[in-house]
Amino acid sequence: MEMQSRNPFQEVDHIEDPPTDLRERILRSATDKRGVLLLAGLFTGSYLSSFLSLVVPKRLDRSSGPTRGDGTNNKQ
Amino acid sequence: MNVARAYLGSVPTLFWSMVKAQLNVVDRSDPVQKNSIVLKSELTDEELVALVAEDLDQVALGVLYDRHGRRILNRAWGMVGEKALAEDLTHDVFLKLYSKASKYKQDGAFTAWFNVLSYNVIIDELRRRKRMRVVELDEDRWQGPAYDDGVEELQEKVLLELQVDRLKTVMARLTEDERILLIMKYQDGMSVQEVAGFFGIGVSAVKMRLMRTREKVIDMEREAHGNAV
Repeated sequence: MEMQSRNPFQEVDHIEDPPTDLRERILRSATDKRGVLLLAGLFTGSYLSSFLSLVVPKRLDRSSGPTRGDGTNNKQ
Repeated sequence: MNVARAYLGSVPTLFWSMVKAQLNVVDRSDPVQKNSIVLKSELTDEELVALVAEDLDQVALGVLYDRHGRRILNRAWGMVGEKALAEDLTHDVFLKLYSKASKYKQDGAFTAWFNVLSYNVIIDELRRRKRMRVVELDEDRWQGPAYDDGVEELQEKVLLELQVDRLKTVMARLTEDERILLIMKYQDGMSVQEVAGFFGIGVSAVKMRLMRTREKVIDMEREAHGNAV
């Protein structure tokens, strides 16, 4: 049977004492990040929709027929 | 009066519990959340990343840390050679995973994607600190043997026969970019093509740099043990 070749690179372990607080530190930062991401989403969402409502012209309601020069249509 | 005081006193607690619920803070002492950790620890990596991407789920992130944290910390430590910086980099890798989880495509292996993400975070930070040069080669100044498959085989034989403690000593004397190349190739099993693609350089450049690094290791061994190597 062929002996499996060893690889010292895969045997190297630098961690004698795993840091106990690293997990908590990561999750704490994730909490901060979540807050920022949610806040950014909230601002982006509301501001973006307000901005778009200003710059994008209202869609014509084609089902109501052609629009007259004064902005009304046949049904108005 | 007392009722009003009690009511007002409960407001901060109530407010904090609402904030915690909104931010999805992980509290391992909470039996409901503890149960959630147990349930989520049965999910695959891919399912956990999907939860992080969809809900910024911190319990899922915690489970991913439990599975991969030691490997990432060990890799970072091997690359930078110091504990405090390796811990900072591991922290940054998981935070990047948290914010970039939506970029993961479910059809690929999570480990391969996460490896690339962790390399990017570590190498970007080292470059930012100007501790790592972009892998560039000054082949004209190279005085060692020309690249040859036979030479590569002999060098690898010496390298892979090193004892773990000796390997640690030798790695500590290499530069960061040399350590990173060796770790990519021999610890994470990346092909020369993959390493070249990662750095955006040619395959022959990577082969040359690897050969020079291995030769440097062999020189250190000769220095330590005479010409027996």
